Formats: sequence, structure tokens, C-alpha cells
Amino acid sequence: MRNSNKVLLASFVFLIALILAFMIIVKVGINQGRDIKYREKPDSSITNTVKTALADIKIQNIA
Amino acid sequence: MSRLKIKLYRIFLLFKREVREGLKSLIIASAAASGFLFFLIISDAFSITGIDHNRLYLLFLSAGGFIYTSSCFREIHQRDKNSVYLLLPASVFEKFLQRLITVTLIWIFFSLTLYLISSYAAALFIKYIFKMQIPLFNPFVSAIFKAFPVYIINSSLFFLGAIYFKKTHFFKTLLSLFAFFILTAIITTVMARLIFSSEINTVFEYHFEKNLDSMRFSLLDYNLDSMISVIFKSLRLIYYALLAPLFWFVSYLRLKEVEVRNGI
Repeated sequence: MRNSNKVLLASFVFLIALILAFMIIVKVGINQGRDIKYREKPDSSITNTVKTALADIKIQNIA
Repeated sequence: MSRLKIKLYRIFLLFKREVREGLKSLIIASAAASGFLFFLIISDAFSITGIDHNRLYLLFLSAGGFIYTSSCFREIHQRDKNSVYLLLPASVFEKFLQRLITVTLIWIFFSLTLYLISSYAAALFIKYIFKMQIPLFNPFVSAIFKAFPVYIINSSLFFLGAIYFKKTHFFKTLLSLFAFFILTAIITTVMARLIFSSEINTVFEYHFEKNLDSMRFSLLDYNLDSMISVIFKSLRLIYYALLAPLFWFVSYLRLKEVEVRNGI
């Protein structure tokens, strides 16, 4: 195998190894003390505000 | 004589030889390119969007540069010409450096001059024939100067292709790039499927939308954006700092091998 082909092959292997390393970093980052399964979507503040406003209207109507 | 020994005078002589031998072709090619640019600018001036000199010049720089770079080492693959070129009294590195300067710095300067002349000629033509004013090309803008490093890096791929392939260098280089991207995409997809198998399974379990939503909120909590930005910055650094030197190094090695294979 010629030297130029060897360098090209080594660069390709390096690139694949680099992509693999990046993926492992992301994987470790995701899984670090976290459980991503079955988390509920949190209520946003705007939803709470609307809910509170609706409840206030109901109380006023009843009164 | 050491292969890495550089004498500026010998590089100058190589330039002189190239100009002397290729002067006729250079004049014909320049005239053809100027004429093509002249009509391209005029047709673009009458388009709905109007003329965009920066876009046209960058297209000319890249397309013309890649085609020119692809054919810059044509003579080392031609049996009747290669021995004359390879036996010139200059080292491989000097020959390599002379061609590299030609396809990068000299081409940038040459294309800029050619486009400038063509654009001013087209502007004068439109002014006197159609009584219209078109904006003049200003080469001193940041968009143009930012494109030069990108062109130099990308042309290094075609520079290697010019030495590596014997015929149809430009199309073979494009085909190799396409094959490289396909192969990398397949390998990356397989690796991602194996590494992120649990995450992918979670997303596609039971209710797709609910799981995707929970995953998205979960990932946002854990600052994935900063991780991805670091990865993109690293890839950007590799592209700007490593890609061109790597391909130039491989080109130099290949040129030495071609000298041994074809020159003896």
C-alpha cells in the first residue's frame, strides 16, 4: 500500500473515531444521573395563569 | 539534492516556464472566460432579482477554480510530457509549491481581475446601449474576503484529485467526495443506532408524541445545546485548521510516488 493511501485511510479512521467520541460524549451527557423515561410535560406559567383566572371567574359567578 | 530544499529562483523559473509554454492557452481561456462573464452579468442585470456581483463572483471563483485546479497536474499523467516535467531541475516540493500557489493565490487574484474587468465592461455596455445604470462590483467587501479561505480549503480536495487520478480528474474527484459522504453517513447512522439504541427505543415506545415531548423537555433541561455547539465548533476547527494541510500533505506524497512511477 502506498504512503498516500495509508495517510488517507488513517485520516478516515480518525474521522470515524472522532464522530464516535462525540457520540459517546453526548450519550454520557444525556444519561448522567437522568431518567428521561415517562417524564410529564411540565405546565407552563401561562397555562397556570389561565387556569387561575378561569377559577376566579367561576368563584365570582357562584358568589 | 534534498527534496524539501526550496530555492525561490527555481520556483520563479517554473512560473516563467509555465507562462511561456501556456501563454497562448492562457490568453484564449481568459478571453473566453471574460466573454462568458460579460454575457452572464448582462443577463443577470435584466433578471427580476437584479444583479448580485458577490454571488456571481463567488460562483466564478469556485467553479472556475475547481475545474482549473483539477487539471493543474495533467501533464504528469501524459506519457509524452511527463518525463519532461518530472525531470525539470527542481525538487518535487518546489514543483508542488509552484502549482499550489498558482491554483490558490494566483487564481484568486486572476479571477478577481478578470471579473472586475468584465463587470466594468458590462456596466459600460449597458449604460451606453440600454441607458441603464447597474451597480458596480466592489471587491473590497467582507463577503468576498471571507470566501477566500473556504475556496483555498475546498480546492485542496481537487488539488489532490488532480494528482491522484489519471483522467477526468474533476468528475472523479466529485464522485469520490460523493462516495466518501455516503460511506461516512452509513457508518455514522449504524453507530448512532447502536449507541443511542435505548433513547431511540424510548422515543418510539407506546406513544410516539408523548415520548418525543418528554425527551425534548428532558434534553433541554440538560443543556444539550451547549454540547452540540462544542461539537460543531470542534468540527469547524478541524475544517479550517486541518483539512487543507492534510490534503496538501497527501498530494505531496502522491506527487513523489508519481515521480517514481512515471519518471523512471
